[in-house]
Amino acid sequence: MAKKVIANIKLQVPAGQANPSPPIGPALGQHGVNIMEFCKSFNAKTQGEEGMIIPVVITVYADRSFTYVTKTPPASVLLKKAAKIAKGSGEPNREKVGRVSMRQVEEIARLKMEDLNTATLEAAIRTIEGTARSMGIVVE
Amino acid sequence: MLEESSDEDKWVSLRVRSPVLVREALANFLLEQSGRGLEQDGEWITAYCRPGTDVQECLQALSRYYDGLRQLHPNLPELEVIQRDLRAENWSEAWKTFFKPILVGNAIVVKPTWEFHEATAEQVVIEMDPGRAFGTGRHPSTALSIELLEYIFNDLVPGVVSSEPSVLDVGTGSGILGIVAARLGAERVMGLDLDPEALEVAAGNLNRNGVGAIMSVSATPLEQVQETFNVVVANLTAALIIHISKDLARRVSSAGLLLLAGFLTEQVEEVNHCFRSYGFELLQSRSREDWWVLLFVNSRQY
Repeated sequence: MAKKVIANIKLQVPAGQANPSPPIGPALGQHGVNIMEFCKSFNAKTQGEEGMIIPVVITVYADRSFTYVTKTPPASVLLKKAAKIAKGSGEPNREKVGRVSMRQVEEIARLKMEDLNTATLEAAIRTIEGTARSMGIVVE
Repeated sequence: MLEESSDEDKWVSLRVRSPVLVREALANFLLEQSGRGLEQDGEWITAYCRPGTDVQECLQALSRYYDGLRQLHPNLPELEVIQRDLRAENWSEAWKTFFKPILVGNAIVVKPTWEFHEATAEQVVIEMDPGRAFGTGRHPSTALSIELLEYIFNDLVPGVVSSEPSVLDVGTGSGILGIVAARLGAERVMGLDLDPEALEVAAGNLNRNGVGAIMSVSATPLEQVQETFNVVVANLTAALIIHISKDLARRVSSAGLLLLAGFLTEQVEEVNHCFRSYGFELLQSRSREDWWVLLFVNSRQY
């Protein structure tokens, strides 16, 4: 179809909890996207994943119609799950809040490889390790 | 600190530069702080503090966290934050200001469901809410297709095409072209789309426009459709139209019409050439803003 793209909007939204307040309202409203239509569809699609943060890319076309794709949860969320913690550290250089094994890091790296845009698994593992450190999670 | 009473509805957005090295962790920190979602735009992350949040405290926590990151990653640049006040609006309604009823062709009015439009006797009003599927009547190729459907049903159908015209809409999207055809007098319309989401949207639009008894939509692949139609419509892309050209041509009845749209000036000749080779004759072409529609007649039988 003659679809001219006017915007690609990247959001992270809690599963099943999309509503017209920020970030969705201001991000989509300025492009004339039917906000309730997006929220209803997103919430239906992510039902059952409550508590997860879902990255979503919304493509807006010239006639203001849109499509969107949801991605796997961010590496940070997977790291917290693996370390069994609710939050990352507020001072990652001093306060360590959890531990994950190298094997868990590798698992996450494999899962996120596509989104990380890295050429090799090793590079993806390094990226995930860096994120873990930045969250105060020790990799052992 | 003095707080104005109007601050009750004041959101604050924090736009934070996030070097790729710490982007993921920074996004996580901002998500945890705000308890809400966030927006990513290149290397900037925008988080939102809801009304009543102690923004200073948020900024201090962010600054403390970023200092920690710089200890771990000494090459990180300094923290950059752009803070902006955001008046709470009725966001779920505000986007609607983009849409007003529009007149397409001579007498087709495409209007969003929430707008009132007093139609004249000769106008046909189509209700379309922009949503997840393409086709709101605002794109030149959709508008041109509607104009040509008007031409087909007002000028060609009487006597020429059929007394009970049937229409096939390939790649129906929101269903708009099929719905227009149904409202203009088609006896039967089949809409095809491979995208299940488009089918869901189209089905809603059929009912909204009262054409559920005339038009049906399905994910049936074009090559599996057996019947022929008096009018076949395809608002796709040049590449896709050429790819499925054989199946498109087969579905047009003898002396039937083929309406093609969705391509640009430099692609017109290729499309034209392709269908002429199947024995189709170009009846009309129209263009707007570089987008083209071509109307062919199937003259294979002559």
